[in-house]
Amino acid sequence: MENLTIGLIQFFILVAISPLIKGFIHKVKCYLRGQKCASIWQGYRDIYKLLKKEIVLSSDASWISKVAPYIVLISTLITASFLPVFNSHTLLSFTGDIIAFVYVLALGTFFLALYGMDQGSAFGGLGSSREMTIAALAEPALMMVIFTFALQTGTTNISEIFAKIHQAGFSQFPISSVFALMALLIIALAENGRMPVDNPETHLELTMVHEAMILEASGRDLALFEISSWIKLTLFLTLASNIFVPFGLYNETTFVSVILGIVFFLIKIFLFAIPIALVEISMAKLRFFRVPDLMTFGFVLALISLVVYYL
Amino acid sequence: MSISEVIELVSAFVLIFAIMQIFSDRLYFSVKTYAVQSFFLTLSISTIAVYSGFADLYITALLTFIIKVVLIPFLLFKLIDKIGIKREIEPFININYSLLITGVLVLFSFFLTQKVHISGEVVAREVFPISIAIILIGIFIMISRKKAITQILGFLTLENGIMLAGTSITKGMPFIVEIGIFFDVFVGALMAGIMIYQIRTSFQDIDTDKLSSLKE
Repeated sequence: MENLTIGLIQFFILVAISPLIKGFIHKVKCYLRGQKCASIWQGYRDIYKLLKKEIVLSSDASWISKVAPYIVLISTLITASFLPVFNSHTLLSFTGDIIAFVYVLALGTFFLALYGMDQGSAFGGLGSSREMTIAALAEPALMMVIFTFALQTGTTNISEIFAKIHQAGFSQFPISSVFALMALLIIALAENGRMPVDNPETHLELTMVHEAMILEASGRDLALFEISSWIKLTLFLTLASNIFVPFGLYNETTFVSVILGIVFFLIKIFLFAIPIALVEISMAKLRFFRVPDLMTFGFVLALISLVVYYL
Repeated sequence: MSISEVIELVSAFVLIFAIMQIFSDRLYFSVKTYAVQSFFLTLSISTIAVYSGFADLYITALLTFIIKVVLIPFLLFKLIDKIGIKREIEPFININYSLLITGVLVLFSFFLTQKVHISGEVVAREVFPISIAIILIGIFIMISRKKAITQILGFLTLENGIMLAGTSITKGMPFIVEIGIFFDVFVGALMAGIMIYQIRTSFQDIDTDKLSSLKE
């Protein structure tokens, strides 16, 4: 019963802070550019506003357009319930390991791409094809990073991986970890459509990827897509911060340790959000045909981290 | 976290930025990457200085910072502005394959140095394969790129690798040797800059491929 409560708390915290993380990254970028900026709570207002509006679907849309937003959200929520946030008791960790984590996320990406093509607009198809290219290139690198940690800890269960890394203290394989961290940063930027790969700030640009797929979405559908993409970013940040700064994930379930765990988690995740903002303001968007090079860079780093651990 | 782990961590960053050098196709970005790479080299040397307590190493770290993080990048930026060429358009091997070859080089150097037995006290053992990898990457940049500036950057990367190996395995070479190396590298970069400018004025390009047309 206790474990169930903690699992639920972790799940709700992860979902609840995801618009805040997005607002925070935006705020940091505005601050560094010297702009005036929307409030850090803007994400919640956007979701509230969109939920009240009606859905307009294209007349070419089939049933896929009706179910896709829900499948994308549900697959993201399921992965969120796999992931230990500040305690190793998660809601669904007994059902899926870290490989399931990757592929349930990929299911969401797949339905997002289908949604883009289903609306019958030219932009959606472009966005879908680009998104699938990037996802296909990012996946092997992500699997390599994950296998590195599965090998180090001897298990593929996410909770156990995290618990063992936290037991060992700061990583005992520094070189392997640094390479894995850099690879994970590149993959996170690509998978979440952040700056060197895709620009999350514009809606009208020929080169957009994620925004092109959801260009036709409106009302509640758009709200679901937006919140799914924010949760996905938060998932990657949580994964990175818990693997690479293994402090504050407690095995105990006392009240004080849970509160401390939450505080540590919030500090860590906001610290990990800052590099993303820094990369975004300091880099221009890459030409689309340069993206495979970036993904190869990530793949090579991940491969080195895996093999260096072995040698 | 012990001090040798800190040194390994910092030198892993030096290697990452050496690989990023392969990724870049803009000259400005390459020079910036070199500056950051040298900055991490400085950090690594300072950590070794704290660990071993040799006063020489502090001066080495300071000189590395002044020459490699500030002066050489500044010179190269001015050179790029002067010759007005900003991009490495077509290397001999395209960037994708170059990156994969780099990965193989790194793994090869880790495999190779497994068999090497270093006698005596070693500060951080894992830094040795990293520095071998950086040396190999430097050589690879020198042979796979066409533009003279990237070839200089390959040479400077190679030199960083030697520096890293020297400081991490032997706690630094004799001070007079290091001073010699620093001025060698600095004057080398300076002269290469002048030579590139000369190539630019006689060929309207800094493609070293075109030097093969210098026949009678």
